[in-house]
Amino acid sequence: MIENLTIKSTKRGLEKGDFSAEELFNHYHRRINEHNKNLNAYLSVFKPITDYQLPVTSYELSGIPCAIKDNILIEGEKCTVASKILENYTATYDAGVITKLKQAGVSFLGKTNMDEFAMGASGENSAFGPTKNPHDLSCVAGGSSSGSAAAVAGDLAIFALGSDTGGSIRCPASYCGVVGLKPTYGRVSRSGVIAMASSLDQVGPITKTVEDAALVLNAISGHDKLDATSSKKEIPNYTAGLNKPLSGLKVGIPKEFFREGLDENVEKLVLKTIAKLESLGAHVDHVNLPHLEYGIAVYYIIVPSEVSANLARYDGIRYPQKITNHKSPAYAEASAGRQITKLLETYTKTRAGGFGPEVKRRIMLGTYALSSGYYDAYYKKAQQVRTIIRRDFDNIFENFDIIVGPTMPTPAFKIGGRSEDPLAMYLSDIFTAPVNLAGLPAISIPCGLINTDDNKKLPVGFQIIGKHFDEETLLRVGHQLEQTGIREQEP
Amino acid sequence: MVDITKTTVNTIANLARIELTEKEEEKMAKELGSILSYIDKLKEVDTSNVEADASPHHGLINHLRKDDKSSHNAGDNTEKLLAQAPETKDGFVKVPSILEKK
Repeated sequence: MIENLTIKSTKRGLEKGDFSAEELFNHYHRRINEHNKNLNAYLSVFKPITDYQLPVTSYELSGIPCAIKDNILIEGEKCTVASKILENYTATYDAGVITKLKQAGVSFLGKTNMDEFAMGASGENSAFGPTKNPHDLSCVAGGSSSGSAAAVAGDLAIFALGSDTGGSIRCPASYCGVVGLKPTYGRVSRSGVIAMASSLDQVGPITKTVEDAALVLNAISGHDKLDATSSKKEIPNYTAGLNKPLSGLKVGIPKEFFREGLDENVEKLVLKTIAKLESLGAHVDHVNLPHLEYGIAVYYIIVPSEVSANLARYDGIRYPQKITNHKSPAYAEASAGRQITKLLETYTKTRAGGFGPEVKRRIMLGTYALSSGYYDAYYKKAQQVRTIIRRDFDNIFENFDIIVGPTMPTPAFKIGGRSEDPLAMYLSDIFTAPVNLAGLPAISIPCGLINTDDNKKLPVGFQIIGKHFDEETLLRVGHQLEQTGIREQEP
Repeated sequence: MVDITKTTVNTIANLARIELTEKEEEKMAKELGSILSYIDKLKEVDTSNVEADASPHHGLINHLRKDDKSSHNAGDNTEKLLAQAPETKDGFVKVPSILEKK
């Protein structure tokens, strides 16, 4: 029976001959054709390929159908970053993680929807329409890896890859009720991942179970000579220690996580989960992250600054955006049918028509922060506070093994519900973005369901933050919490 | 409250090489002002003697490779990359003129 399979149960099914890799792929292909029009999780769906069928037991992830966020390059396939400016771009090489997944034997189902250039916390900033939350189609899926989380939650893939710059794996995982792991900065190669903010971006798995996240991390971790920031640190077997008892584990709960704006039901579910941790033998104590409240301010200087530099390359010269094609009002108004004959105009009009509002906002903000006279006040100041935030985490980790709390302050909200105020949207990253500023690993696991007014149940995510390169402990804690049945608990 | 004028927006848009409509300029001035006002709270933090750290953690070492043929041979990717450009000519990316004819 092919239904809601995990990587683990798929491997078993393939080995026993319950179904073939081809049957499995076609099953998911059919499901995507049937359900994607409701979810808008995929931007492109691949045709079944005949030679993907490897001997089913030979590789770690042989025949496992997965979905890839559309900012990760697969050679010969479109890679749009959900932006008009790369609508017609075809990747010319494989990202480091794709090379590794190919070696592990996966089959690719397609590329998933996202906030344009990974900028957003709802999935609504896609140039190709918002992703819908499988738990309630009137709600956002979270962002920016909206399609990856919705595809896994809606069983349109067995697992997916996302990327996380300030919460972009954990936020949609939390809203969609799936597992999302953001590895330590440097654990996974960023080669071939379309850059948003290079000092923060990291690729990671979105899966149905914690064990699956460990299996995918086994496959994608490690040094890549094409990413100078990828670490040469040894890769442990992430599934080996999942059941090692938690007795004596030291857990810190930052007081600052329980603040105004935290949904009361989210708080209840998080506290219930913390009680479960204690019953598993962990020692729980309160800690302080005194500069947490500055995390968002730091993040929204550093990210736009890096964005303004990283996105300078999209100017109508090297990438296939044709300025004559775009339908931007600015373009129509300014060009009035005449030919663009100057280089500067090629830049300004291509970028006017190719980028959406949030991307423009961040490029403008970053350009401002880096401009002459403002650099010290904004960029340098933000980097200094970033150092202080990292030290706050370091101080806690001198005495504690993990830090826990909510992933997001609320469950998923209605599509369109927050789009008028960019700042309010930014503030929802308060628990996730500081983790990226410090380069730490973190996982979001489903920790319960909240009943809504219209009789739906919306999932909530529990965040576990670990020491640099200690994904093992996150996975171990997440796996054992998952086994206690927290996924189904109610406030 | 940080006041961002339309003139400032114009200057920034020019630096960022983005053409904005008048409506976008107005909206951008308001939004940037509100975001920068929020960011002003960073002034509360005492950062004297704190290094400006661009690296997320200290476990990072840049692993630089030699600038030689070990990554790829010259010309390996030329055709594929040129195929992505909107306009090419004789193996080059074609762009409009920069200098004005007198």
